Amino acid sequence: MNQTFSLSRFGRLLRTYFTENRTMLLANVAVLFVVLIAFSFVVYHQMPSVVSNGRYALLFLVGGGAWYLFTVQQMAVLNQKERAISYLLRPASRLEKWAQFVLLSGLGFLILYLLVFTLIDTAGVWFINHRAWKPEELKSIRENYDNQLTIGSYLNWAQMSKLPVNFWLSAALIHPASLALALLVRRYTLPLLPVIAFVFVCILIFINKQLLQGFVDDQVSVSGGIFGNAFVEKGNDWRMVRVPQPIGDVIRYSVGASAVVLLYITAYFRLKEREV
Amino acid sequence: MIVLDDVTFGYSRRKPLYAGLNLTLEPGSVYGLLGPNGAGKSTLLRLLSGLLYPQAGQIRAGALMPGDRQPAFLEELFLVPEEFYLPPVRIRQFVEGNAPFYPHFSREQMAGYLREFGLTDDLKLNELSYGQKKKVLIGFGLATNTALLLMDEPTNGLDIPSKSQFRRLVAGAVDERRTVVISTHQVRDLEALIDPVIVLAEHNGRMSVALKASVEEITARLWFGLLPALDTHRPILFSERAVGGYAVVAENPTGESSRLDLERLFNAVQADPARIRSLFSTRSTVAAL
Repeated sequence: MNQTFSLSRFGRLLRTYFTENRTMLLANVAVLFVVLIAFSFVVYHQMPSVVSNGRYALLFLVGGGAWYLFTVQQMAVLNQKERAISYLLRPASRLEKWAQFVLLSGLGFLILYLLVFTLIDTAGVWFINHRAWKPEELKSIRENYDNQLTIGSYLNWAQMSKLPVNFWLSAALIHPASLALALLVRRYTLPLLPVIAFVFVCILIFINKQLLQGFVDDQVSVSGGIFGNAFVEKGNDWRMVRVPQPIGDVIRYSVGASAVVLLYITAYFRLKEREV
Repeated sequence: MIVLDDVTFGYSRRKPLYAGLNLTLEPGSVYGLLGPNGAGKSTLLRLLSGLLYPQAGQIRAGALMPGDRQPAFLEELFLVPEEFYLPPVRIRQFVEGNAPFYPHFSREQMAGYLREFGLTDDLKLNELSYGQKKKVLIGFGLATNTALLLMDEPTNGLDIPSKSQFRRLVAGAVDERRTVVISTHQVRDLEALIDPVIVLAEHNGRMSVALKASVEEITARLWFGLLPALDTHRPILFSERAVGGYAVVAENPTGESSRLDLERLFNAVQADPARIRSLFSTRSTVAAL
């Protein structure tokens, strides 16, 4: 049998995982459901146009937090000696074990989360569209909220494309970063990872600013938004620095994609070298 | 065959636990691994299973290296750790999930072991006591029929009848292709089972194999017995007061037969490992020392 990857062995690994962790997975889904319902109760009780945009914050913030917690929870198996022994000695290749983590905590979570969110959004949309508004609420909607009384599903590309780039970038980085960092930090993993990520972002912003300053030989202020512009100060006169397009986007997306790939590779090597 | 070749390992680079450790384990035997607390018995088992990487030297299991953690090696290895994790499922589900990973797994054997230990496969693992869980894991380990079976303190937590059941089951599960290594402090529990015996002792601040010999070799070179008074003519390696005199481990130049006493052998090795080494080093089978 192939020592690097075998589909039957990988399938066996997944089956055993689902059998042995069924209770924990069901509990996770239940908690996610309850948390989403609790937040939705607040979000979907607002005016339709507010809900229309506000639910994306719910989607990304709760989703991001839950994704981080779930990934760290999965990787915690390797930080508990007894569980790590049982897992690492299971007859499967390193690639299969890594793929199991990536698939379950990555794609698995994403599918399940989007399913749950779609379900809740469908119920929320139905509630908004069938809501009996009070006269004063109707007046406020007419005057302040573009007279919007109904909303559609959150799966609306035109609306989603207007979301801040930070949302998408965080969504792309949260899983590989949690995976790699959870394999790097063995103790106090859950509280330490956000601190490490925050420090890392601060260092990155500082380096970015220093680099720009070096290029333009002037005072520089970097935009808070990722993929935003930099501002160069000339006395009291602000000037904007823009990387020419399309090379600007090529650089930005290449850096982002490389970061994601490198984080997954780091996770693989950390798993490969893990000692118990 | 498992070969440890000049293995160096330590949890701190400055203070290695093992340095230049050499050891060969042949199939068809139940090795007893004895050593004082902190000697690195569990560490040695984890090195053998590829959970730890040697800092220098090599460990080979046939053509495979444990540290590579290849499926071909892992399919032929089962480790029963002292502290272990079992998922919160029924025994039947645990067996159904994990047995397919081991090509030589025997469901009949597993059913027999469960019967022998007084367990049924519909019991939930998270509702069992530590001893019962250990029985499940030992039974599963034996039923995998892997070429290498490592057990760390397997009799800890087992009740008195279970210990004799354990001895009987392990003895029955060993064949000419299987190597079993049992690390233990409970030497009395396993006296009738383990052969050969490996004893670890400190040498120049590091742990090394002070003795690796079969029971036959040991009793040919050492004499174990009870003397009413300490005999100054006997080259005594270890003695302690016992009811009716002194329990003694002495050199056995005349080849007088005696019954191996593992506990006293262990004490004799710890008291003077260098003397034990020189006593056994003349034999080719202990060349690894």
